[in-house]
Amino acid sequence: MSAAEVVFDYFEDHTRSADSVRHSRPVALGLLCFAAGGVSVFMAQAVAGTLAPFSFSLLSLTLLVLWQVVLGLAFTAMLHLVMEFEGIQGSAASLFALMGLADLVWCLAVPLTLVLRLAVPNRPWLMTVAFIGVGLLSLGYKARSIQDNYQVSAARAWITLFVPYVAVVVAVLLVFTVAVVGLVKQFIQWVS
Amino acid sequence: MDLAGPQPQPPEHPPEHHVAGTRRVKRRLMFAVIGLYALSLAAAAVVAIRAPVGQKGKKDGEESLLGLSSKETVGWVSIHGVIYNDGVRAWDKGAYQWARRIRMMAETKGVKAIILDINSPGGSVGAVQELYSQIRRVRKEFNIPIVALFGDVAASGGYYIASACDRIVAHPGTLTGSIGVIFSVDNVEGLFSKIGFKTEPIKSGPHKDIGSWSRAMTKEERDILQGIISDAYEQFLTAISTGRNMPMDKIRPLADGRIYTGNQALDAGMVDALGDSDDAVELAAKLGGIKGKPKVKREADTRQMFLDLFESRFAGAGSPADWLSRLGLRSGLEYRWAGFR
Repeated sequence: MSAAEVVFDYFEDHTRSADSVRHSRPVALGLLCFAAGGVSVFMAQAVAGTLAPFSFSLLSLTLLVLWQVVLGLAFTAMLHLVMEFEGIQGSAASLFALMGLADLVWCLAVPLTLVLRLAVPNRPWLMTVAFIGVGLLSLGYKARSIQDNYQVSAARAWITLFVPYVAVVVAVLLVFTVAVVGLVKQFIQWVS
Repeated sequence: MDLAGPQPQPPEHPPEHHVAGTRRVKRRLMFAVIGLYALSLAAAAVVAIRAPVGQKGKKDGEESLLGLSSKETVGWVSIHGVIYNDGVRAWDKGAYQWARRIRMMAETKGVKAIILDINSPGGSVGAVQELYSQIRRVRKEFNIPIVALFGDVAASGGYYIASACDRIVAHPGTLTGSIGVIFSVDNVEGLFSKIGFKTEPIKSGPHKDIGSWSRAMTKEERDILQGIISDAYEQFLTAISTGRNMPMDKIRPLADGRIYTGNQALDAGMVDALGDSDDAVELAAKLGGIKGKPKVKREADTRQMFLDLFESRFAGAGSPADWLSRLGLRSGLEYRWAGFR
């Protein structure tokens, strides 16, 4: 099955696509999809005018795409680790490819932001709504990918999907707390 | 006779042909989608390059792509508190940080004019002169108008830095003026003698410990310091004369150290207009050539905001420099209104 068919089936017949990905494990396709997702996010943000602090340049685009790919890798690794801990077998390479395919949803953001900018230029909040919508759609596809790759229920797939996000929030909160405690200590030392 | 009975009819399309057909359709659809996506990417690139909102400013009068309004803004930088160069903590504000923020605002795309919101009784001579010089440099380098807006007080060094701006807007009740220099020397000789404390400076020259707080000042030392004060005072007058394009003989009578209200300052020609923040923004927008209602872009240093908030939790604790200033224990040459607490 060619890459074009895999992509087509992912949105049209996901069980067939998942089967195909499980057999061929197209990591390169996953990588390409993550990159395409990154390019789309960059372009959509450039159109929406929310690219700051980045500029509209090749260097910024490269950085963002690289970031997207690295994040995809890390995200996949974390999800796979969670599933492994739960004793559920599955291929990490397949998951990476499926996650990349789910990131392709971001390609929708480019025409969407263009249309919004053309149709309702004075309502920037609509762009935010569009971004949130596309993001949620991508999340939905990611949950379905987990479900297909590990043959788990939808609820379990959603819970697993949120584990990395929760982990990041907890880590940020922890760092913030440590920073505040450090500042308080420094202040008390300075006063005394 | 046909014993085998009727032969099964071959299907119209064999399964291989059907699969091949489906694959062909899928590929074609995918290529069509990819083509459309590439097209939208190209369109997005054109939009981003030609009319990037908040990224690149447009030339004056240029029509924006898709008819979007331009993002020409008035930048807002606040200078609040005593102006010093130093700072013990990482988040202390100082002349260098303020100068950097003014420059960063001038470099921001779309910012056509800057409001300098001053609420300061002045500060050390070096710090004030650093800011004055940097404001003039930014004005020249970026060809950007800067309007000073006075808050409660913009006296001494606060007025010094404002004179580097294109225009000054003050509230009628703003306290300004206090043009002059001060060098405060504390003398705790009596206190030291009471507690039996004595310092024995070993000097390379007779005036090496000039301004020492452990002994009284000599007549010769006073003359030396007065000379320094006079020189710094002349520098102050020259700065105002250059910045405000005012003759020295018009400034000198005003510069006996007294403070003025905004109203009095307007009569004396020390400020250009009375008004509030909206008036200042409108004036800046006009000088910057912004048409229509101007938008204001405030400096957004989130780290600083957080640290300010954190600091305010501790009963208004300021930096050690601030505390020394408040207690009058900080010596040195200052363009500062000593009456402000």
